[in-house]
Amino acid sequence: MSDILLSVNDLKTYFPISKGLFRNSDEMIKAVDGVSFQLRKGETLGLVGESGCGKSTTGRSIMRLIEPTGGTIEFEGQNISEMSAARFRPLRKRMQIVFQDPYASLNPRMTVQGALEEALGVKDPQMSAKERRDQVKELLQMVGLNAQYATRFPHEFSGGQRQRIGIARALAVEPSLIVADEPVSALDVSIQAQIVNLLQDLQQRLGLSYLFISHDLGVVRHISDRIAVMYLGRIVEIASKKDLFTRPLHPYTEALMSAVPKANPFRKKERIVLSGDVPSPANVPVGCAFHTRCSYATEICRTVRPVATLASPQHYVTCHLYGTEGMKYIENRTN
Amino acid sequence: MLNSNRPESYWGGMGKRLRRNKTAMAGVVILIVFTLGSLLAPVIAPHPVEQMNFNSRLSAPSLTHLLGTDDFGRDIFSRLLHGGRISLLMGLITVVLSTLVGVTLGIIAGYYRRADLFIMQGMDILMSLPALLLAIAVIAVLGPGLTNAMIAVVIAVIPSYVRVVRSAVLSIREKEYIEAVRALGIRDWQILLKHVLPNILSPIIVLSTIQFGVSILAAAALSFLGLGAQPPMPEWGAMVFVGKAFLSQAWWMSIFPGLAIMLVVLGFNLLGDGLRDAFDPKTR
Amino acid sequence: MKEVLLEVKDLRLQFKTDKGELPALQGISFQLKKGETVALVGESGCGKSVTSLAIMGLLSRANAQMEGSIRFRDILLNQLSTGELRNIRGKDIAMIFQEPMTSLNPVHTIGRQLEEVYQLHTDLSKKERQAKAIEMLKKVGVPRAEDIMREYPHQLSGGMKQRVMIAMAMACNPDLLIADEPTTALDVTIQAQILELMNDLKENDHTSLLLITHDLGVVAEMADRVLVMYYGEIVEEADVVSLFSHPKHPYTIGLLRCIPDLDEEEKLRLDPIEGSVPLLGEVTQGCAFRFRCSQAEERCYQEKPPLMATGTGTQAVRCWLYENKEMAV
Repeated sequence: MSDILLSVNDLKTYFPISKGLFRNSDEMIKAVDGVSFQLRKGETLGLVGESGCGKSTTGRSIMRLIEPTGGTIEFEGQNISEMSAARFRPLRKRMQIVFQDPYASLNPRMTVQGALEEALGVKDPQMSAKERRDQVKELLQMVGLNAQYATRFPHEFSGGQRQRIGIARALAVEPSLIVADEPVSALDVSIQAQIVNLLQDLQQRLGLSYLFISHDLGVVRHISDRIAVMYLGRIVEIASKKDLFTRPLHPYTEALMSAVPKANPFRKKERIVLSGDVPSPANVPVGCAFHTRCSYATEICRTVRPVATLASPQHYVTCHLYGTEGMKYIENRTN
Repeated sequence: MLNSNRPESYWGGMGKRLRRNKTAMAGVVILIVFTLGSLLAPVIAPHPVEQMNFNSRLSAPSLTHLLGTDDFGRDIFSRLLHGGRISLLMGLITVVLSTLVGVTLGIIAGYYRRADLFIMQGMDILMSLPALLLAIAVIAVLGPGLTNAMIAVVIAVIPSYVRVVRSAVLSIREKEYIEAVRALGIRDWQILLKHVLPNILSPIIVLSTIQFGVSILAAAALSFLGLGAQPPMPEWGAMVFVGKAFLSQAWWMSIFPGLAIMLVVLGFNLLGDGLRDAFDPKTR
Repeated sequence: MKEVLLEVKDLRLQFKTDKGELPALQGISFQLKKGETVALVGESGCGKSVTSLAIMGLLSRANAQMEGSIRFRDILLNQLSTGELRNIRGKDIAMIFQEPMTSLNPVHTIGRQLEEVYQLHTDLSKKERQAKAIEMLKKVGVPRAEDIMREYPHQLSGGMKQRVMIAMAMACNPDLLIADEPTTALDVTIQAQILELMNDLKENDHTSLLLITHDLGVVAEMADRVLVMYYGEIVEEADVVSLFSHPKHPYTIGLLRCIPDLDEEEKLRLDPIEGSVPLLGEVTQGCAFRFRCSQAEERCYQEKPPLMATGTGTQAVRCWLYENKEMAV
């Protein structure tokens, strides 16, 4: 299958809990704990979940901005997870990242021109000064900014404009994959829509693939082709957008969707309010990580970690309610 | 929440805030006076530095000798002007050297976790000794003299640079724009030079300004102890030392060089505090 | 007609800065009745948070120049001294903020901070205060209330901290609770818990709520009446049903259009409001929204529209488009 751009298999990223100089402990924060998915060319995969679920770490691990602890990452047909830094460098620019905080993602001491030229220099170190200037103009126009702004510093721009500059920088090296890490969460709603539209336009024009990380289900539904829901370092459900929203299977997905307040006062519908907090990723519950907050949890959920089950074509859910083991267990119980 | 209408440039805003700060400007005036005095010493000094005049030994301040004369009849005012050259130059050299070494070590410690442990342990050891004691120990090894005194001062002040720079780098390293250029595949040394260093300049400038005063004071202290510049040299610390023996007969021999040291150090400290406020208006 | 609890009249606010005076609020007027929930909606910089700070008297008088009146029951808040305000704050009017992480003092236990509220505003003994505090924590759904009393803020999750903040705010049964983006920093499942809690408390204690938020979903869920703010002004005022079913101001319409809603049919493209909010002080005449408004006419550049009543009279809008329609009513 050649249309697969990115294939992530059993990705694990653990952080040691350091307890000072001389006491290295064995305890680990399991930020990402066995994540697998594939991303096709030109596709947008939404990655949703609440804070601390490991969605951002997943994005950064795929790009090896954080070195993963285990698993394989295959990108453009090559296994990049164990490549040396030198061999990885030319591939690195094929995947770029757009950040959440437009105020922290640009070097405050560098003009827009400087930032973009630096990126262009990575793409082609031999480029002449004039070519660079022309391409900077082109990039700025592509993201909807006036090319005259090139000589300005980041603090002279609004949040939405900075986000456009960040996107232009990512595009400068002509990537095939963009990891968008909450790219609109820090923006006002009226600006959010501008950036979402821009990302969609760019995808059509340039054939980009997006891994779109967000906690905002509305935005994710709008932009994604497929959506993966994460909870405590694991993907609990992954399906096409339509499947996921018309037929959410995992109890967590269901609760997450019903928790979003609707901008519609007539539809004050009842919602599933989850009790309690998300457990700490340093202390993930045994068995299914969600069982502490799940109203359907049974004995097996507290002991056996569920595996991804194919519930319908292209719709995977990691829940004992849908697994064979769960079925067997429940049958045994009832007999 | 407040948006400024016309955003001013970083350095422009800083300069404006500094100019409005009266105490900092007082520091600037002091430093300008001393720098000009030292630079123009050969021209404006009323008497040659080494000119001895045994007829007017230990004479009190008067119109011919503004600040009096010393035990060899040398004009103290002239000697102070020339001494300023030594002190300021020494301060400059020590600050430049310790900035170079300290900033390099600090950036490495802040950016690379593995190096951090070794560098910081070394610095902790240096810092656990009182700076002056450390300097004396260095001189005990190298022998007294102006150059060795400077080396001693450099070694003693490096840890404070490493500390400041390291913590500044630690906070910059987590910024998303560093991740962004890493994602582009920019090499580490370029990241450090182009993205990290420019963003930690303000704490380095503030620290260097204050360390300028500290270095001058430390060098003077070493000379006073007879470990730095040796007496015929018109170094301020050495002059205070010589004058100490004549304190009851000729107070001016020690008091005026002492005042010179105090004023210069004060000037640097006032300027340094002013710079700190000007760089970061929020922390006032 | 219910009793008016809070009345803000022609509130104007100028910030004094290096670059001259910036108009943060340009004549805000509204009423809040007993037991009612009014939402102030708008994007960053529209003046919604400043309004709440002005009501609480939390703006530094050195940097901000205030005009107009703020009446709470029969007290003119804007004429009180700092000391008199302090007596009202926390007792009759309480406030919760967006950042539960920074609103609690990290060096004191939860119990001590909660007891302090009672100490300031009641004559209860230490024992009674403690009992009250525990009761309050239980009321806001904090599990293990007795243990939590002895714990420090960093030991609690974001949602728990916001519960504690609400407990502190509700401790003295205030008549008015001002909530400034109370759930913005929280995850959706936790947000759902907190919104439910606030609704329960409001119903049981008949507290009036001034809710400041940018999230129209939260507004739809909580508010009785809505004030939409733009550039330091109220551009539309309506009951919640009218606002969502017949939004009138082009800005309100734009806001409602540009959010991707989970219940709506899917759209191919979102409809953003083009451009961005003007900087404070940038607009000196005409309607502040005209730069982003597709229906702007010559007049919008010259004259600032007043807030005009439309329809049944429960809805008012600051837009020239509705001038003639108003006459028709």
